[in-house]
Amino acid sequence: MRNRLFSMVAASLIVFAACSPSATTSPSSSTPASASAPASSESAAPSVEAGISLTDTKYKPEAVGNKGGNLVIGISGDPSSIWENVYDTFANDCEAFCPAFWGLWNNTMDLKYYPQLTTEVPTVANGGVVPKGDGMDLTIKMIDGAQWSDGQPINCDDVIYMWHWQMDPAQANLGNVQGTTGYEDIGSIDGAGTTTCVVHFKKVYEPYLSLWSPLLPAHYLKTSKVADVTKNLYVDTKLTDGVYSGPYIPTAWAHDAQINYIPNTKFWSTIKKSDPPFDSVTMKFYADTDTEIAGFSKDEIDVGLEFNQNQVAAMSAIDPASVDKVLGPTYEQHSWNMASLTKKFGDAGAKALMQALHYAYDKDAINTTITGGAVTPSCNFVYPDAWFFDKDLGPCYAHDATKAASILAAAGFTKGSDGILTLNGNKAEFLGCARADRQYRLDTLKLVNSQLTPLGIKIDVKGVPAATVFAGWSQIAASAPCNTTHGNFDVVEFAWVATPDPGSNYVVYLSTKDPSQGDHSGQNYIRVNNPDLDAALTTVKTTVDLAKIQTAMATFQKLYVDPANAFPEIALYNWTTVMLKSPKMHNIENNGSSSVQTWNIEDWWRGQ
Amino acid sequence: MSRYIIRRLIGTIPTLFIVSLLIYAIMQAAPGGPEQKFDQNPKITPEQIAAFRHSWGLDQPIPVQYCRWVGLCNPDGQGLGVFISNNGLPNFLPSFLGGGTNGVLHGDLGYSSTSGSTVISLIAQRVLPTAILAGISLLVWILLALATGILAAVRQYGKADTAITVFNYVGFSFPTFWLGLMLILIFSQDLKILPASGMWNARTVPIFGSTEYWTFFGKNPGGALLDLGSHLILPVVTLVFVNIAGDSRFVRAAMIDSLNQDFVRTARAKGVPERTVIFRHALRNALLPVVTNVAIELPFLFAGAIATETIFSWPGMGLAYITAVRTYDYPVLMGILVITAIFVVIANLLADILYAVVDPRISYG
Repeated sequence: MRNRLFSMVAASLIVFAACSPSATTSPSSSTPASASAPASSESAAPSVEAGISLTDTKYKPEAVGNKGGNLVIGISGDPSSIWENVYDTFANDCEAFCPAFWGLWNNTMDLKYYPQLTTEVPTVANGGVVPKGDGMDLTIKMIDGAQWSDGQPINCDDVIYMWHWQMDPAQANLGNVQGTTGYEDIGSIDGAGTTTCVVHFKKVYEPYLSLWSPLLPAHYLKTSKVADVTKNLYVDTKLTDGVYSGPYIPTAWAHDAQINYIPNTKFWSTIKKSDPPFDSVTMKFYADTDTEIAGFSKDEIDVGLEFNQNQVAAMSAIDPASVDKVLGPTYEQHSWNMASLTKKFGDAGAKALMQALHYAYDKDAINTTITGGAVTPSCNFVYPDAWFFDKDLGPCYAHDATKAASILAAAGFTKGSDGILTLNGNKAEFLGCARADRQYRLDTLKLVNSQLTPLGIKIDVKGVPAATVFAGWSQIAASAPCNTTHGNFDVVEFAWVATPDPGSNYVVYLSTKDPSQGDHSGQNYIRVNNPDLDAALTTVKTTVDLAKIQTAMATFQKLYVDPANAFPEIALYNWTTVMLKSPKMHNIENNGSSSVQTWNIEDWWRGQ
Repeated sequence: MSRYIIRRLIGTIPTLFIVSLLIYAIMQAAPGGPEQKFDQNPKITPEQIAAFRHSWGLDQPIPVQYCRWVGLCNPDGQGLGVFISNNGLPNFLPSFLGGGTNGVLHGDLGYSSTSGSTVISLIAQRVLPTAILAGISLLVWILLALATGILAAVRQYGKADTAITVFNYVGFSFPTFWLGLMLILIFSQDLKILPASGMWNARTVPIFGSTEYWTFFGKNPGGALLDLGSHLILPVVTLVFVNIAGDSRFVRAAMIDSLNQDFVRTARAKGVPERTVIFRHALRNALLPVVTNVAIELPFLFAGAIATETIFSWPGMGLAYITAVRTYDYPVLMGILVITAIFVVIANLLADILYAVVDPRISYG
């Protein structure tokens, strides 16, 4: 955070919208293993692309070598409720939730999928996903004999009920993160009372692996009206009344202090089929990261979570072997408003300006000055571990102010007496926006301004409340400066999170997802309008051929990375996700995403 | 005196009403609201946000929201019927008399918009930790303020006076959050002799206030107190260091004024020992403004020290308040602010009463 007052730099994470209705059908037939949508009406045999796998993970946990004791995990910030993962802002805010609930599938630290309450990850290749006309059938094979913490069976009844529960109109009052997205495309589910469920989708739903995450118990949900669920179920003063599926059950919650967990005996006996490595788990909350670091030094905690590059300097006194740093999927970027630039300078002028900006940004200087060298400058929005990452792209283009200047001159920009470039009677003076409570972003914009000033480009930096930057179309005045939805900005800095689902880019970069148009729900804040990009995004969204998806994403990445394409988004750097872990701890795999670092807590153990 | 107290108590009602109205108005005027948490969630539609606002009554006019919160209005009522309870009687009446059940007047402070817990239960969890931290800090700094203030007054313009003055101004100038962080870095991270934060050792001690904690306390009171004490040291030092200046200077000024009075000169002329002159004659009279000043500081016992509790993750009212601000949890914010306002009003009344108790020349009759 959450900012979060207790965190010096919390994420301003914007999760890609995971879904939108699929567009035109794909020419390809049903094919290989994919988390994306099989969309074709044809039913040809699948073909597996060599080297593309969604489940081939590097994660190989070592066997538990010691059992017993209390695991203490430090976190900066207190989740508001157990419901946070379902009813709160972020799609995968794990913290208090991950130890207590499992979903049907989950992601590893290298963005692969693995089964949790199921025996396999359904794909086209293994027959788990079968296109059927305009829709598709998804087969969920749940673990036979798996039980909830109260001994009730985990089976298709829970899948079916949760589908209906998500669709309940009363959910609208609660701000359910998933909402009805995906569930509304389901026509029926077979397999009640069994562990093999067949979900009949009325139309293709590409990110089907994001559904039922987590899976909630039908028999427990039925005890409350949907509208009152946050007041009646999993109440933080009666946690032991709840029903859980994960490895550890919360038993007590002292807000802003800690949550206590005990092993879920049913999980260990019916799902994991082993003994728990710990007798108890405590999640201890710290008000800020500095205090958490001090607590780790004092051995108050075994693992410290939710750090990033901004706290690395404060960890200088800690044994480097205890500081685990990985490249995170969150990346800081500058979104330029192409519509605003085009209006000022025309198509050619706007394109030239964007080309020049790509070369004018000195990302190494940003890294050094703003983050103290703690991050990795980047030029690609795709996480390197993603299966669709284009390894053939080569290194990022280099900073070249001279080239930038020549591009601008060739386009007809001329400097006025005030030193600012002008074209078509319009000055290259821009409004640069960021959240006022993220000082490092304001500093970055000012630094970039200093880099652009010699070229004759000026950025007037303005900090505004977060609510102003991201407010929806009807939630804020049309003229509110720095609002991305209304396009009242020239450049804005915030962070995106790269997700494992390539289709999630659809709503962010498709030309028709300009929030100024239609129902204003689109997130194409940069107002990019590129036919090649639209074609690539549509292919990703509507095909199951992994090779075609990979090719389409490669096209997209080239458009994004090559300055010649004048893409109006400039990636600055990937965040570094940092964990503190005691040298005695085993099987801790920092997965890059700071909100799900307890993803494999069932495998953690502590040596003597 | 009793008529005065009753008159003052009656006078607190409109005061509290106006205070609560002002707080509510300011909170509503500030940007943001409970629906702010959905801002960064692309899956939430405007219709869902509107439904959320409707379910929490946030789409109602502010006067209506306030009226419901106070308990004058029935949330189920329409038109003029909003003032009538479901039992057909004025909603402000107690529920056992047929009035409503909602609102402050009926002891209902609502539910937290983030956790779903009742505001009262949330506040109840936090009061004791704040009372412990604030109470001990208040006691320590008052005693130290008395001691340093007396010494500074008796040794006016001497080395002791100068040293105490410098100490007070340095302490007063330190930002609380900075001092707290420095103490953590030095004593927890570097020297590793004191806990970094929290109120108890998460590895060995149950959650404070839980049944398990009191069982633990019963079996090992020394260990429990030692653990609590070790966690109190740094936050108490922080609070004392920053807050002692004001009271110390106050005591010094009051003592200097008292020591220059004729009755003190007379006592000395009579050969009364200097210690007796200072502690029995001068201090007794100097305590008058000090006592009233301390009484005004009593609401601190409830409201807590926001910065200190935040830095040290002390699970008290101050931290609850800042969490509620961060998450736009209006019901919790209103609950904390209004109860704090009640404490302030009562503390002022107590100060006035103590004034009369300490100085027999003062009468409110």
